Amino acid sequence: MIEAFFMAISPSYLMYMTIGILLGLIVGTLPGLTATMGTALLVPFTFGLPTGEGIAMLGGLYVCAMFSDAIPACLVNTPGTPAAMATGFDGHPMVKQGRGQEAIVAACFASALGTIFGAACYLLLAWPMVSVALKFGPPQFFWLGVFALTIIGSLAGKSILKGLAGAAIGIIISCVGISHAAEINRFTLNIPELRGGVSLVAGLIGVFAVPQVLSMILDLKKQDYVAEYRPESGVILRTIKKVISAPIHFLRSAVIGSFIGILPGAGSPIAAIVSYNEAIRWSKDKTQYGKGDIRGVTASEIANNAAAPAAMIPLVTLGVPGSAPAAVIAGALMLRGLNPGPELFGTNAALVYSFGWSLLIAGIIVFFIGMIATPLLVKIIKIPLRLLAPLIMFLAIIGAYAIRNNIFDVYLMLIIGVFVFLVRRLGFHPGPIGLGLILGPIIEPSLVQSLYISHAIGVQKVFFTGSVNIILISLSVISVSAVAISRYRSKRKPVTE
Amino acid sequence: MKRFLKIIQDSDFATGLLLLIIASFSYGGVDEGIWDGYGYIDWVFPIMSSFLLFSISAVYLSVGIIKILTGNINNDLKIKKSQIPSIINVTVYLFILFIYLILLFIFGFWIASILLLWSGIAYFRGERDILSISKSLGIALLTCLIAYIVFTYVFWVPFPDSRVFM
Repeated sequence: MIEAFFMAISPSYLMYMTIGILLGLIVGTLPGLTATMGTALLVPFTFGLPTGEGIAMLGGLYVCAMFSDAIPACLVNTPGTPAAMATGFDGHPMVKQGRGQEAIVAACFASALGTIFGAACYLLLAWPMVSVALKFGPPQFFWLGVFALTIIGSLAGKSILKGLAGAAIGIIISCVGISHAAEINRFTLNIPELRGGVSLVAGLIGVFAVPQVLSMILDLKKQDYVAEYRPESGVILRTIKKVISAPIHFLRSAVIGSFIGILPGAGSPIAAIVSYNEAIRWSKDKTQYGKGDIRGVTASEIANNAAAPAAMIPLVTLGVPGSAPAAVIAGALMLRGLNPGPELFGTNAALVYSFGWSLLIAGIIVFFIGMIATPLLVKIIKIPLRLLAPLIMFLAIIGAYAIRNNIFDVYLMLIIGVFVFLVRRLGFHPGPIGLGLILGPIIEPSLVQSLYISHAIGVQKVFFTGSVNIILISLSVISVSAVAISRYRSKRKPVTE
Repeated sequence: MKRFLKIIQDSDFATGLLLLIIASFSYGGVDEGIWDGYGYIDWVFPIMSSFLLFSISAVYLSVGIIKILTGNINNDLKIKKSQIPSIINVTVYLFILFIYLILLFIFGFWIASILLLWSGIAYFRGERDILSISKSLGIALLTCLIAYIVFTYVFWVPFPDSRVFM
């Protein structure tokens, strides 16, 4: 492991990693470009490099994209990738309160901490963690998705019923296309383009970016900028102190992120959502979440960044990638004749460990690059709304198009966007709709597989037995009850003002 | 008709109606005979969501009907006169977007995107003089150029070409 560390800090590793990180900064910041797409596009450029440097470059891109997706989420309420959806819930209100720099610094520092924790798990705890992950089958994934859905209680705003309805609408949108079991058309209205389903990224741009632009246009008469720009000295140190003054919050988010990261198919978005939900549930003062609480930003960012290195754990231990970018990295290794899995540990341990160290060092480099870039990035809010609204819409259109090079995704994005803009007036929050879109494709395949298994051994045995199932069901029940009790109490609380 | 318009301005009733429409559409899209064999597995997830929507819509519609019967209808969705200029802005911008999609089909990325950005910026800035109109054109051109270079040459995303003038 020591030898691998010295490999990872060699100038060539650091140089290629930094190039990957800079590309990751662009990939994450632009809505529509995902970490998967970025790593896939970078693979051909790594062919000319030694294997270690090549995968370190890919890892750097992945890690940095998990941070930089928080930038548009905070500044213009448009997550750069699905993993940053929960970051925007508190990040954007912080920006609106003139705390833009604090939000970005918090996201950057939290991302660095999350990455370092995830990479440490990769280096030290890979085998024990993977043995727990192996206990997860389709029914456990189903319950994990249901548990993630309980965040609706925190996101729903004034009406929990509207939150539930929003999630159901998101789930129905995610069901459009060819089904998972018998591959039949669902809700395709005989339109061939709908058979491929609604692209998650285009859908999320529709849910968050389009209503945001239309709201900006609606508010043009009232305000000229997204928020007031107040550069302050000492924000970086103050924010870092705030983040490290909550060690339990950090540990909880990092453990959740790392654990969910190793579960194949779950990935960073679900890690960020569960972590955000748990941060609210364990907090003494829940009222500030969703209104610009720094803990909301850090909970999401620590978890989604911890999940990125952790997603590499099942790849190097079992040969099963934990996320889509990890699958691309697996492909890059296989193209070089290296088979990820236990065999790689035995034959090329230095490469496996140097990759872990690279991810850890990438977390540190991301922090410094983020600190340099933050003052420049925050200036986006100095652009007048009259100019910013058309520019965001233009980027949203390109982003929706770029993901599958399909103009039909742009139409869907605009339709979803206008729909969400209109239902916001009825009191719906875009969060639950986005949540349904993200969780639908995770929960449904697990449900379908579990139902098939239940034909052989019975529904009760599949869904309601086994320690992991019982834990997840109990957590879901506790989460729902906690929300119900806290809402009941807040309704009964006499108004003192 | 006037009474219906008044009722629909109540957010609870409007929510119930909207959810009922979505749930009916989604449930109506379910294939027939799914309960024979394993067919239901493909539909169980959207059906659960549809039933949830039906239930929630029933709650809101019931609240709305009680409000109608007791004469307590809120017209909280009623558009105020002061909101009309902002709504016009949104409608004009949506119209610009609609035209953009048509132009994108006819002319491809460059002309359509420059026109979208230029018209959007010029409309919202309320420009009248040649200098500021040319400034908007400059911003639109520069933005399209940067987007083209980044997406085409760095991320290999081919932008749409004209489907008419091929």
